[in-house]
Amino acid sequence: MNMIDAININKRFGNSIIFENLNFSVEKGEIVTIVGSSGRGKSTLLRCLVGLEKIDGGTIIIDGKKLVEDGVYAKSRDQSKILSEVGIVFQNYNLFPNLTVRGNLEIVKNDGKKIDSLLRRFGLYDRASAYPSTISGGQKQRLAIIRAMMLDPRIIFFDEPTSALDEDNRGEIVKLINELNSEQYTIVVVTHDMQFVDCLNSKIYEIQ
Amino acid sequence: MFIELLRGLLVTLELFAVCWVFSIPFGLLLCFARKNSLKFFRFLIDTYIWIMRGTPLLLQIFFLFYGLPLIFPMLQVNDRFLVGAFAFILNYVAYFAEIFRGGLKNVDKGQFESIKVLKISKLKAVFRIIIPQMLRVCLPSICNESVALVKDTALIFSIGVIELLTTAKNIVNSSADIFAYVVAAAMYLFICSLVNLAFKIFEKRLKFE
Ligand SMILES: Nc1ncnc2c1ncn2[C@@H]1O[C@H](COP(=O)(O)OP(=O)(O)OP(=O)(O)O)[C@@H](O)[C@H]1O
Ligand SMILES: [Mg+2]
Repeated sequence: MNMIDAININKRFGNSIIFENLNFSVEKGEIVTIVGSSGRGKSTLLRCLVGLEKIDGGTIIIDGKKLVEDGVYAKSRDQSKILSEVGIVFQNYNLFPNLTVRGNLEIVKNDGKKIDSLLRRFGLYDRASAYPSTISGGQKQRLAIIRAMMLDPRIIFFDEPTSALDEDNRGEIVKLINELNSEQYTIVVVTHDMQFVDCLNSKIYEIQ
Repeated sequence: MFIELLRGLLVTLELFAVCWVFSIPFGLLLCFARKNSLKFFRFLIDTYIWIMRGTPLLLQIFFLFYGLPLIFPMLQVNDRFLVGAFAFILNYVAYFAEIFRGGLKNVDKGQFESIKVLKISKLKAVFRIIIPQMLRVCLPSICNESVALVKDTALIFSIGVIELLTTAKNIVNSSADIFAYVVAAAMYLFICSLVNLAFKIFEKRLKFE
Protein backbone atom coordinates (compact mmCIF):
# COMPACT_ATOMS: atom_id res chain seq x y z
CA MET A 1 0.00 0.00 0.00
CA ASN A 2 1.17 3.53 -0.68
CA MET A 3 1.99 6.09 1.94
CA ILE A 4 1.60 9.00 -0.43
CA ASP A 5 -0.22 9.27 -3.71
CA ALA A 6 -0.12 12.50 -5.64
CA ILE A 7 -2.33 12.31 -8.72
CA ASN A 8 -2.28 14.94 -11.45
CA ILE A 9 -1.49 17.72 -9.05
CA ASN A 10 -1.15 21.30 -10.26
CA LYS A 11 0.40 24.30 -8.61
CA ARG A 12 0.52 27.88 -9.82
CA PHE A 13 1.77 31.10 -8.29
CA GLY A 14 -0.27 33.75 -10.05
CA ASN A 15 0.29 33.13 -13.72
CA SER A 16 3.38 31.00 -13.43
CA ILE A 17 2.84 27.28 -13.46
CA ILE A 18 5.14 25.53 -11.00
CA PHE A 19 4.01 22.00 -11.86
CA GLU A 20 1.17 20.54 -13.83
CA ASN A 21 -0.28 17.02 -13.84
CA LEU A 22 2.47 15.78 -11.60
CA ASN A 23 2.13 12.19 -10.46
CA PHE A 24 4.13 10.33 -7.93
CA SER A 25 3.76 7.83 -5.18
CA VAL A 26 5.70 6.70 -2.18
CA GLU A 27 5.33 3.23 -0.77
CA LYS A 28 5.21 2.61 2.96
CA GLY A 29 8.68 2.39 4.42
CA GLU A 30 10.61 3.40 1.35
CA ILE A 31 13.04 6.22 0.66
CA VAL A 32 12.17 8.46 -2.22
CA THR A 33 14.36 11.21 -3.59
CA ILE A 34 12.99 13.99 -5.72
CA VAL A 35 15.64 15.63 -7.86
CA GLY A 36 15.59 18.53 -10.27
CA SER A 37 17.53 21.69 -10.79
CA SER A 38 17.03 24.88 -8.84
CA GLY A 39 13.72 26.68 -9.16
CA ARG A 40 11.84 23.68 -10.48
CA GLY A 41 9.42 23.58 -7.59
CA LYS A 42 10.87 20.87 -5.38
CA SER A 43 10.44 22.86 -2.19
CA THR A 44 7.00 23.95 -3.32
CA LEU A 45 6.00 20.32 -3.77
CA LEU A 46 7.10 19.48 -0.22
CA ARG A 47 5.29 22.51 1.09
CA CYS A 48 2.11 21.30 -0.60
CA LEU A 49 2.51 17.86 0.97
CA VAL A 50 2.86 19.25 4.50
CA GLY A 51 0.01 21.72 4.14
CA LEU A 52 1.98 24.96 3.92
CA GLU A 53 0.78 25.57 0.36
CA LYS A 54 -2.45 24.59 -1.34
CA ILE A 55 -2.45 22.85 -4.68
CA ASP A 56 -4.71 24.21 -7.41
CA GLY A 57 -5.91 20.89 -8.72
CA GLY A 58 -5.40 17.16 -8.35
CA THR A 59 -5.53 14.65 -5.54
CA ILE A 60 -3.22 13.97 -2.62
CA ILE A 61 -3.74 10.84 -0.57
CA ILE A 62 -1.69 10.28 2.57
CA ASP A 63 -1.81 6.84 4.17
CA GLY A 64 -5.07 6.12 2.41
CA LYS A 65 -6.76 9.33 3.52
CA LYS A 66 -7.64 12.04 1.07
CA LEU A 67 -6.11 15.38 1.92
CA VAL A 68 -7.31 16.85 -1.37
CA GLU A 69 -9.55 15.25 -3.93
CA ASP A 70 -9.73 16.87 -7.36
CA GLY A 71 -8.62 20.15 -5.92
CA VAL A 72 -11.09 20.10 -3.03
CA TYR A 73 -9.50 19.99 0.40
CA ALA A 74 -10.82 17.93 3.30
CA LYS A 75 -12.43 19.69 6.27
CA SER A 76 -9.85 21.51 8.30
CA ARG A 77 -10.07 19.13 11.27
CA ASP A 78 -9.58 16.14 8.95
CA GLN A 79 -6.71 17.90 7.22
CA SER A 80 -5.02 18.41 10.54
CA LYS A 81 -5.43 14.73 11.39
CA ILE A 82 -4.08 13.61 8.03
CA LEU A 83 -1.17 16.02 8.23
CA SER A 84 -0.19 14.69 11.64
CA GLU A 85 1.33 11.78 9.70
CA VAL A 86 3.94 14.05 8.17
CA GLY A 87 6.96 15.85 9.56
CA ILE A 88 9.37 18.11 7.73
CA VAL A 89 12.98 19.12 8.17
CA PHE A 90 13.31 22.50 6.47
CA GLN A 91 16.31 23.42 4.39
CA ASN A 92 17.41 26.03 6.93
CA TYR A 93 15.83 24.06 9.79
CA ASN A 94 13.70 26.98 11.09
CA LEU A 95 14.58 26.23 14.68
CA PHE A 96 13.22 28.62 17.31
CA PRO A 97 16.27 30.76 18.13
CA ASN A 98 14.88 32.08 21.41
CA LEU A 99 14.41 28.60 22.85
CA THR A 100 17.10 26.21 23.99
CA VAL A 101 17.64 22.84 22.34
CA ARG A 102 15.32 21.30 24.91
CA GLY A 103 12.90 24.24 24.65
CA ASN A 104 12.59 23.67 20.91
CA LEU A 105 11.29 20.18 21.67
CA GLU A 106 9.24 20.97 24.78
CA ILE A 107 7.17 23.54 22.97
CA VAL A 108 6.05 20.86 20.52
CA LYS A 109 5.25 18.29 23.16
CA ASN A 110 6.09 18.41 26.82
CA ASP A 111 7.24 14.84 27.20
CA GLY A 112 10.47 14.84 29.17
CA LYS A 113 11.12 11.12 28.84
CA LYS A 114 10.78 11.14 25.10
CA ILE A 115 12.88 14.30 24.79
CA ASP A 116 15.67 12.85 26.93
CA SER A 117 15.82 9.63 25.00
CA LEU A 118 15.84 11.39 21.63
CA LEU A 119 18.48 13.88 22.77
CA ARG A 120 20.66 11.02 24.00
CA ARG A 121 20.20 9.01 20.88
CA PHE A 122 21.08 11.91 18.57
CA GLY A 123 24.05 13.04 20.64
CA LEU A 124 22.52 16.31 21.80
CA TYR A 125 21.93 15.51 25.45
CA ASP A 126 24.85 17.57 26.72
CA ARG A 127 23.77 20.52 24.57
CA ALA A 128 20.20 20.47 25.86
CA SER A 129 20.44 23.89 27.47
CA ALA A 130 22.32 25.57 24.61
CA TYR A 131 20.65 27.98 22.21
CA PRO A 132 20.50 27.06 18.51
CA SER A 133 22.86 29.87 17.55
CA THR A 134 25.60 28.18 19.54
CA ILE A 135 25.43 24.64 18.15
CA SER A 136 27.03 23.29 14.97
CA GLY A 137 25.30 22.86 11.64
CA GLY A 138 25.08 19.10 12.02
CA GLN A 139 23.68 19.48 15.52
CA LYS A 140 21.08 21.94 14.27
CA GLN A 141 20.00 19.47 11.64
CA ARG A 142 19.71 16.67 14.17
CA LEU A 143 17.67 18.94 16.41
CA ALA A 144 15.37 19.72 13.48
CA ILE A 145 14.98 15.98 12.86
CA ILE A 146 14.17 15.25 16.50
CA ARG A 147 11.72 18.13 16.55
CA ALA A 148 9.95 16.71 13.52
CA MET A 149 9.80 13.33 15.30
CA MET A 150 8.15 14.76 18.42
CA LEU A 151 4.66 14.36 16.97
CA ASP A 152 5.33 10.78 15.83
CA PRO A 153 4.89 11.23 12.11
CA ARG A 154 5.15 8.25 9.77
CA ILE A 155 6.69 10.21 6.94
CA ILE A 156 9.59 12.64 7.25
CA PHE A 157 10.32 15.09 4.47
CA PHE A 158 13.80 16.55 4.04
CA ASP A 159 14.38 19.66 1.97
CA GLU A 160 17.97 19.79 0.68
CA PRO A 161 19.47 18.11 3.74
CA THR A 162 23.04 18.36 2.45
CA SER A 163 22.97 21.99 1.34
CA ALA A 164 24.33 23.39 4.60
CA LEU A 165 26.67 20.54 5.48
CA ASP A 166 30.29 19.77 4.79
CA GLU A 167 31.65 16.38 3.61
CA ASP A 168 31.84 14.75 7.06
CA ASN A 169 28.29 15.60 7.99
CA ARG A 170 27.05 14.37 4.65
CA GLY A 171 27.99 10.80 5.55
CA GLU A 172 26.28 11.36 8.86
CA ILE A 173 22.96 12.38 7.36
CA VAL A 174 23.00 9.39 4.99
CA LYS A 175 23.47 7.18 8.03
CA LEU A 176 20.68 8.92 9.90
CA ILE A 177 18.23 8.67 7.05
CA ASN A 178 18.95 4.97 6.60
CA GLU A 179 18.55 4.46 10.33
CA LEU A 180 15.20 6.25 10.41
CA ASN A 181 14.10 4.29 7.40
CA SER A 182 14.93 1.00 9.09
CA GLU A 183 12.57 2.08 11.89
CA GLN A 184 9.61 2.17 9.52
CA TYR A 185 9.76 5.85 8.80
CA THR A 186 8.92 6.65 5.22
CA ILE A 187 11.43 9.20 3.93
CA VAL A 188 11.07 11.72 1.14
CA VAL A 189 14.15 13.75 0.28
CA VAL A 190 14.25 16.69 -2.08
CA THR A 191 17.71 17.55 -3.37
CA HIS A 192 19.83 18.53 -6.31
CA ASP A 193 22.90 16.88 -4.84
CA MET A 194 23.38 13.83 -7.08
CA GLN A 195 26.35 12.51 -5.09
CA PHE A 196 24.08 12.38 -2.08
CA VAL A 197 21.37 10.61 -4.05
CA ASP A 198 23.92 7.98 -5.05
CA CYS A 199 24.57 7.26 -1.38
CA LEU A 200 20.92 6.64 -0.63
CA ASN A 201 19.16 3.47 -1.62
CA SER A 202 16.10 5.23 -2.95
CA LYS A 203 13.49 5.46 -5.63
CA ILE A 204 14.26 8.55 -7.68
CA TYR A 205 11.81 10.99 -9.22
CA GLU A 206 12.92 13.77 -11.43
CA ILE A 207 10.96 17.00 -11.62
CA GLN A 208 11.20 18.60 -15.05
CA MET B 1 11.16 72.21 48.99
CA PHE B 2 12.38 68.62 48.66
CA ILE B 3 9.17 67.29 50.06
CA GLU B 4 7.18 69.23 47.48
CA LEU B 5 9.43 68.10 44.65
CA LEU B 6 9.20 64.52 45.82
CA ARG B 7 5.44 64.84 45.82
CA GLY B 8 5.63 66.12 42.25
CA LEU B 9 7.99 63.30 41.34
CA LEU B 10 5.47 60.82 42.69
CA VAL B 11 2.79 62.18 40.35
CA THR B 12 5.20 61.99 37.43
CA LEU B 13 6.16 58.41 38.29
CA GLU B 14 2.55 57.44 38.75
CA LEU B 15 1.63 58.81 35.34
CA PHE B 16 4.62 57.13 33.74
CA ALA B 17 3.85 53.77 35.34
CA VAL B 18 0.15 53.82 34.49
CA CYS B 19 0.83 54.76 30.86
CA TRP B 20 3.61 52.28 30.42
CA VAL B 21 1.73 49.39 31.97
CA PHE B 22 -1.27 49.95 29.72
CA SER B 23 0.40 51.13 26.50
CA ILE B 24 2.74 48.17 26.06
CA PRO B 25 0.17 45.35 26.20
CA PHE B 26 -2.42 47.32 24.26
CA GLY B 27 0.22 48.27 21.72
CA LEU B 28 1.02 44.59 21.29
CA LEU B 29 -2.65 43.75 21.05
CA LEU B 30 -3.22 46.42 18.43
CA CYS B 31 -0.24 45.19 16.45
CA PHE B 32 -1.53 41.61 16.37
CA ALA B 33 -5.10 42.76 15.73
CA ARG B 34 -3.85 44.72 12.76
CA LYS B 35 -1.99 41.74 11.38
CA ASN B 36 -4.88 39.32 11.73
CA SER B 37 -7.89 41.38 10.85
CA LEU B 38 -9.89 42.13 7.77
CA LYS B 39 -8.85 44.93 5.46
CA PHE B 40 -11.47 47.28 6.85
CA PHE B 41 -10.30 46.92 10.45
CA ARG B 42 -6.70 47.19 9.39
CA PHE B 43 -7.61 50.44 7.70
CA LEU B 44 -9.26 51.68 10.91
CA ILE B 45 -6.24 50.76 12.99
CA ASP B 46 -3.86 52.36 10.51
CA THR B 47 -5.95 55.53 10.54
CA TYR B 48 -5.90 55.59 14.31
CA ILE B 49 -2.12 55.19 14.40
CA TRP B 50 -1.75 57.81 11.68
CA ILE B 51 -3.78 60.39 13.62
CA MET B 52 -2.13 59.66 16.96
CA ARG B 53 1.36 59.93 15.55
CA GLY B 54 0.58 62.85 13.28
CA THR B 55 -0.88 65.28 15.79
CA PRO B 56 0.68 66.81 18.91
CA LEU B 57 0.15 64.94 22.14
CA LEU B 58 -0.65 68.27 23.74
CA LEU B 59 -3.51 68.77 21.29
CA GLN B 60 -4.80 65.29 22.07
CA ILE B 61 -4.77 66.05 25.79
CA PHE B 62 -6.65 69.33 25.24
CA PHE B 63 -9.10 67.61 22.96
CA LEU B 64 -9.88 64.91 25.49
CA PHE B 65 -10.19 67.23 28.47
CA TYR B 66 -11.68 70.42 27.01
CA GLY B 67 -12.94 69.47 23.58
CA LEU B 68 -14.79 66.21 24.02
CA PRO B 69 -17.08 67.40 26.86
CA LEU B 70 -18.16 70.33 24.65
CA ILE B 71 -19.46 67.90 22.04
CA PHE B 72 -20.63 65.20 24.44
CA PRO B 73 -21.41 66.74 27.83
CA MET B 74 -21.86 63.28 29.33
CA LEU B 75 -18.14 62.67 28.76
CA GLN B 76 -17.21 65.36 31.26
CA VAL B 77 -14.72 63.75 33.65
CA ASN B 78 -13.39 65.85 36.46
CA ASP B 79 -10.41 63.76 37.42
CA ARG B 80 -7.71 65.60 35.50
CA PHE B 81 -5.07 62.97 36.14
CA LEU B 82 -7.34 60.25 34.81
CA VAL B 83 -8.17 62.09 31.60
CA GLY B 84 -4.53 63.02 31.12
CA ALA B 85 -3.35 59.47 31.65
CA PHE B 86 -5.99 58.25 29.23
CA ALA B 87 -4.75 60.66 26.56
CA PHE B 88 -1.18 59.50 27.12
CA ILE B 89 -2.20 55.87 26.82
CA LEU B 90 -4.15 56.47 23.61
CA ASN B 91 -1.13 58.21 22.16
CA TYR B 92 1.55 55.80 23.31
CA VAL B 93 -0.43 52.73 22.29
CA ALA B 94 -0.15 53.99 18.72
CA TYR B 95 3.60 54.47 19.00
CA PHE B 96 4.17 51.09 20.62
CA ALA B 97 1.92 49.37 18.08
CA GLU B 98 4.06 50.85 15.33
CA ILE B 99 7.26 49.69 17.01
CA PHE B 100 5.86 46.19 17.48
CA ARG B 101 4.74 46.10 13.85
CA GLY B 102 8.36 46.56 12.85
CA GLY B 103 9.39 43.80 15.25
CA LEU B 104 6.77 41.41 13.94
CA LYS B 105 7.83 42.04 10.36
CA ASN B 106 11.32 41.09 11.38
CA VAL B 107 10.34 37.61 12.58
CA ASP B 108 11.35 35.13 9.91
CA LYS B 109 8.56 33.61 7.84
CA GLY B 110 10.07 30.21 8.53
CA GLN B 111 9.16 30.56 12.21
CA PHE B 112 5.47 30.72 11.35
CA GLU B 113 5.88 27.71 9.08
CA SER B 114 7.53 25.68 11.83
CA ILE B 115 4.74 26.70 14.20
CA LYS B 116 2.16 25.57 11.70
CA VAL B 117 3.62 22.20 10.79
CA LEU B 118 4.41 21.42 14.43
CA LYS B 119 0.82 22.33 15.37
CA ILE B 120 1.89 24.62 18.18
CA SER B 121 -1.13 26.42 19.59
CA LYS B 122 -1.57 30.11 18.69
CA LEU B 123 -1.32 31.35 22.25
CA LYS B 124 1.80 29.37 23.03
CA ALA B 125 3.38 30.42 19.76
CA VAL B 126 2.68 34.10 20.31
CA PHE B 127 3.94 34.24 23.88
CA ARG B 128 6.85 31.82 23.72
CA ILE B 129 8.15 32.27 20.19
CA ILE B 130 6.89 35.37 18.43
CA ILE B 131 6.90 38.00 21.19
CA PRO B 132 10.39 37.14 22.51
CA GLN B 133 11.79 37.38 18.99
CA MET B 134 9.95 40.64 18.37
CA LEU B 135 11.22 42.08 21.63
CA ARG B 136 14.80 41.32 20.79
CA VAL B 137 14.47 43.47 17.68
CA CYS B 138 12.43 46.33 19.07
CA LEU B 139 13.76 46.61 22.60
CA PRO B 140 15.98 49.61 21.76
CA SER B 141 13.00 51.45 20.25
CA ILE B 142 10.81 50.57 23.21
CA CYS B 143 13.53 51.91 25.48
CA ASN B 144 13.69 55.18 23.54
CA GLU B 145 9.93 55.54 23.63
CA SER B 146 9.85 54.83 27.36
CA VAL B 147 12.44 57.50 28.05
CA ALA B 148 10.42 59.89 25.89
CA LEU B 149 7.38 59.02 27.98
CA VAL B 150 9.19 59.93 31.20
CA LYS B 151 9.82 63.39 29.81
CA ASP B 152 6.44 63.74 28.08
CA THR B 153 4.64 63.30 31.39
CA ALA B 154 5.38 66.99 32.01
CA LEU B 155 2.76 67.82 29.35
CA ILE B 156 -0.02 66.92 31.75
CA PHE B 157 0.57 70.31 33.43
CA SER B 158 -1.49 71.68 30.54
CA ILE B 159 -4.71 70.50 32.14
CA GLY B 160 -3.69 71.52 35.61
CA VAL B 161 -2.13 68.41 37.07
CA ILE B 162 0.76 69.38 39.28
CA GLU B 163 3.66 67.04 38.59
CA LEU B 164 7.41 67.37 38.97
CA LEU B 165 8.10 70.12 36.47
CA THR B 166 5.13 72.24 37.53
CA THR B 167 6.12 71.89 41.15
CA ALA B 168 9.63 73.06 40.33
CA LYS B 169 8.27 75.98 38.35
CA ASN B 170 6.02 77.02 41.20
CA ILE B 171 8.89 76.89 43.66
CA VAL B 172 11.14 78.89 41.35
CA ASN B 173 8.39 81.48 40.84
CA SER B 174 7.82 82.00 44.52
CA SER B 175 11.44 81.78 45.70
CA ALA B 176 13.18 83.50 42.78
CA ASP B 177 15.84 80.79 42.99
CA ILE B 178 16.38 78.32 40.17
CA PHE B 179 17.73 75.56 42.38
CA ALA B 180 14.42 73.68 42.21
CA TYR B 181 14.90 73.36 38.44
CA VAL B 182 18.30 71.79 39.01
CA VAL B 183 16.85 69.26 41.42
CA ALA B 184 13.97 68.48 39.08
CA ALA B 185 16.40 68.01 36.19
CA ALA B 186 18.47 65.66 38.32
CA MET B 187 15.35 63.68 39.15
CA TYR B 188 14.36 63.34 35.47
CA LEU B 189 17.90 62.32 34.61
CA PHE B 190 17.91 59.73 37.34
CA ILE B 191 14.62 58.18 36.21
CA CYS B 192 15.60 58.13 32.56
CA SER B 193 18.93 56.52 33.40
CA LEU B 194 17.15 53.94 35.49
CA VAL B 195 14.83 53.12 32.59
CA ASN B 196 17.83 52.86 30.27
CA LEU B 197 19.64 50.58 32.66
CA ALA B 198 16.63 48.32 33.10
CA PHE B 199 16.37 47.92 29.34
CA LYS B 200 20.08 47.20 28.96
CA ILE B 201 19.77 44.40 31.48
CA PHE B 202 16.69 43.02 29.78
CA GLU B 203 18.41 43.25 26.40
CA LYS B 204 21.28 41.11 27.65
CA ARG B 205 18.86 38.47 28.80
CA LEU B 206 17.20 38.38 25.39
CA LYS B 207 20.35 37.49 23.48
CA PHE B 208 19.60 33.77 23.26
CA GLU B 209 23.20 32.68 23.40
N1 LIG C 1 5.31 32.14 -2.47
C1 LIG C 1 5.69 32.21 -3.76
N2 LIG C 1 5.13 33.11 -4.59
C2 LIG C 1 5.48 33.18 -5.88
N3 LIG C 1 6.39 32.38 -6.46
C3 LIG C 1 6.99 31.46 -5.69
C4 LIG C 1 6.66 31.33 -4.30
N4 LIG C 1 7.42 30.33 -3.78
C5 LIG C 1 8.16 29.86 -4.80
N5 LIG C 1 7.91 30.53 -5.95
C6 LIG C 1 8.52 30.27 -7.28
O1 LIG C 1 8.27 28.92 -7.58
C7 LIG C 1 9.39 28.34 -8.25
C8 LIG C 1 9.80 27.07 -7.53
O2 LIG C 1 10.35 27.40 -6.28
P1 LIG C 1 10.92 26.28 -5.31
O3 LIG C 1 11.48 26.96 -4.12
O4 LIG C 1 9.88 25.28 -5.09
O5 LIG C 1 12.09 25.67 -6.18
P2 LIG C 1 13.16 24.56 -5.78
O6 LIG C 1 13.08 23.50 -6.81
O7 LIG C 1 12.99 24.16 -4.38
O8 LIG C 1 14.52 25.34 -5.96
P3 LIG C 1 15.87 25.24 -5.10
O9 LIG C 1 16.57 24.01 -5.58
O10 LIG C 1 16.62 26.47 -5.50
O11 LIG C 1 15.50 25.20 -3.68
C9 LIG C 1 10.45 29.41 -8.27
O12 LIG C 1 10.46 29.98 -9.57
C10 LIG C 1 10.02 30.41 -7.26
O13 LIG C 1 10.41 31.70 -7.63
MG1 LIG D 1 14.12 24.46 -2.62
